[in-house]
Amino acid sequence: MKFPSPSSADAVVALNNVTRKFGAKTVLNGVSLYVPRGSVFGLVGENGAGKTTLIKHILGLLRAEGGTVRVFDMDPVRSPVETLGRIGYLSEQPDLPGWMRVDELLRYSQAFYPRWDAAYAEDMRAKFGLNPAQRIKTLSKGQQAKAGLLIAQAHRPELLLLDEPSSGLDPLVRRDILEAVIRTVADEGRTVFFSSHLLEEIERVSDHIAMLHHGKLAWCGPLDEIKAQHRFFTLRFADAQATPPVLAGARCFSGLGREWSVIGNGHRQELPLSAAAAGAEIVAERAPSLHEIFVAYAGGSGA
Amino acid sequence: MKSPALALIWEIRRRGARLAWGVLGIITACAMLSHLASNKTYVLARFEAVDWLLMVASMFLTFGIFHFVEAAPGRNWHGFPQRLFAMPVSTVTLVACPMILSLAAVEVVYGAWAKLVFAPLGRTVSIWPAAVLGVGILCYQSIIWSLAGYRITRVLALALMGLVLANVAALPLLAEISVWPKQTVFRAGSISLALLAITAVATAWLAVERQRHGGGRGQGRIWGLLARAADALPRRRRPFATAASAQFWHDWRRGGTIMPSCAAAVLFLICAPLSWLMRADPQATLWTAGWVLALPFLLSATVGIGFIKPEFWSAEMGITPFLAIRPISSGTLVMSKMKVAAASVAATWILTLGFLAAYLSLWANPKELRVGWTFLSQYYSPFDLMAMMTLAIALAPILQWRMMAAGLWVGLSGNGRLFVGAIIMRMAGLVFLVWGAAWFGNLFWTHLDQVIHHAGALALCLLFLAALKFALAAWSWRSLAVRRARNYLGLWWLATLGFAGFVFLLNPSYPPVKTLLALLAFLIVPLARIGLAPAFLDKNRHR
Repeated sequence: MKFPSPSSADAVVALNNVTRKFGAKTVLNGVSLYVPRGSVFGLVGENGAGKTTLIKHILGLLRAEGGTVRVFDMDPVRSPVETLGRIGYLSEQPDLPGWMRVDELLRYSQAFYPRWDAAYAEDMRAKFGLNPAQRIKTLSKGQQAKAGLLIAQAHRPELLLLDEPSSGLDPLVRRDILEAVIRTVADEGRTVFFSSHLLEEIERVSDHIAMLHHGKLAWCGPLDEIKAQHRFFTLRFADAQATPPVLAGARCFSGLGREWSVIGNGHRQELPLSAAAAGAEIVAERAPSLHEIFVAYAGGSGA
Repeated sequence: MKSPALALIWEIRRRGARLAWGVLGIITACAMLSHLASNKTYVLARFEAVDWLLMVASMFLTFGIFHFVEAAPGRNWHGFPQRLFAMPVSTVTLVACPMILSLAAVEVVYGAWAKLVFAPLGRTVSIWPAAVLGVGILCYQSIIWSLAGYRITRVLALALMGLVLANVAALPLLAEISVWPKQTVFRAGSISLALLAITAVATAWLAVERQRHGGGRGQGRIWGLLARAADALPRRRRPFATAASAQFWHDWRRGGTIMPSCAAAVLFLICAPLSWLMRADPQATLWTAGWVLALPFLLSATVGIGFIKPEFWSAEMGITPFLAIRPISSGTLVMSKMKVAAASVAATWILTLGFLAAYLSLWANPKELRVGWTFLSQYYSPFDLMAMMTLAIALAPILQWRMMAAGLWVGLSGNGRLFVGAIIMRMAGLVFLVWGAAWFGNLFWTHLDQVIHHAGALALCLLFLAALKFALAAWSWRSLAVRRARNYLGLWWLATLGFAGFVFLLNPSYPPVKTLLALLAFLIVPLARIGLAPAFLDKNRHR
């Protein structure tokens, strides 16, 4: 798979061959990734694939053991003040201080960001229905996510980092988060980088996408290109197959007997030829959904 | 596992395996030493105190094994593991398993000490403390489970329980001096212990049963009232001028108010009523004044342990992502902690000195104080005495601040082992200081000539330490802002000169001692360790 690598001037985030181990386990293994300015970049991967670790490297919360991390062309570990001041971050569990009240959280956060837009923050607070006098620990999970989103967005960050922001949240909160993504993109030149398990969401709003699998980048690029590179084939064999057939260029099989479904691994021409050589006939072909591509890489077999 | 009880026992065994090995190791080592030295009386005399100390340590470890609690993330809850509530097991089984096991373990440990360590030394150990310890562990578990949502109340209840049981453990001594027959004292004591044990078990069962059905989650009526009162108080509504001021507010709210609150509680709930009851006794005035003046130091020795961590109330050593992603430098974060420590110390001393002023002028019997003042007046002029008092009032908070801030580099490092090691070193240092002071105090007067003879060597040691401190400071401050380093260095010199001035005023009769104390003044206020804190916080922030 070919990974695009725009010049560092165009990339808000540039990871080059980043490696990170926790004990004996390699969580990130030579990951190189570039996030173009103004893009909505979706990161997918199964649990434990290394998504949160990667995001923590972008924030500078983790130091790369190998390779380099550049955010706004700076090292986030060496220049935390300069990089973090331009980033808005929301994680799955926002870990907001429970003892603070909503208005205290806003005032406290405001002090760190010179570009804090108080009117915008107040507008969002009212829209989210957050009571300013209420303590954070008494808010529901959804309300806490909204409070987290509010402080991540109110300083109009150049890069909005969302780490599985909608996990375990109801559709209404998920909608608010997606609207926030759209709002950020509407501001010219701003970038969104978010990881999620909800592939429909990613598919809906992302223009660039990457997949981590066991700490390695499985694929990365513009969403349209990724989808165009993969094809979903339905094959019919002359005889029933007891085990999934081995075909060059195929990532994932499902089926039984004579009829099998296959996802091509990005080399469009290769699979039809190998299928023909194996005595199979292509009875249907279509563009796969992101979900199907994800399953093909995360949980599928194939060559 | 064949039964839920066995599964619970297995879990407790797995959780406490390290501590259990520790207990076993201590007892084995002491037992071997006791057997080796069983016929050498001069060795025994030295070992016995250590044995008693280690026995207490092993009991603490045993209590630690049965500290069967878990925290509920994101909630003010640290009690019986809630995940077990969903198991198809009766509450009686859930509670009885750890309680019976802990009772048996405490008795076995005590028995091992009696038979394997003390018996070879020819000492017969009374059975009475075994009974008290047994009831102690039941009460301990009952308190930690019942007061799961009440952190401070739980600490107070545990302290009270310890105090009561320590007195009950001393019953054999009481029986000797009591006007009642020995048997009656022991019978009353035994009945009380039995009732206490039954109450502890019943309370634990009722509390866990209630928690299992949604009750006893803290935030009770009192806390509700307190929360409402807090809501009614005026709050800051202005925005913060700078990020540093916002961080100061955050740190003050999380850790700054604890020490003044504890000081206020001790002064007004314990010292005030006790001093009022003993107001006629002139000796009590000296004791009360002494303890009140020692209170800030005792508090910073304990509260300081939590204060140096990123989050006072959390067992986590790592800095929270919420704080780690604030766009401010680690130096500013450390500076904020240092300022909060200073504000906390200032508030504590205002309370302490305010209480002392009120006490001495309103209800204390100052006879003994006057005697002391007259005694000091023989050696110092009134001007020197006033100057020393003024300096002492100014330097005591600095000394207390030092106890709070010097360990920041350890607490903010995020390294749990380093933190625990530093706490152990601090405790050992305190014990050594008390023991060493007593030992050296005797030696000083009996071997004064030798002390003076070796003063040169001691001075060289102190000089070497001071040079090491400056070298480390130059290295640790190299990457910090010049302005910040200059400001702190100015304060450092001011405080150090204050300590040196105090030594000058104290004017010990022997010039070598004066030199030693003056050199010591250069080691009191931290310099290198303050410079290390931002670098260690950086490691925690960017792991």
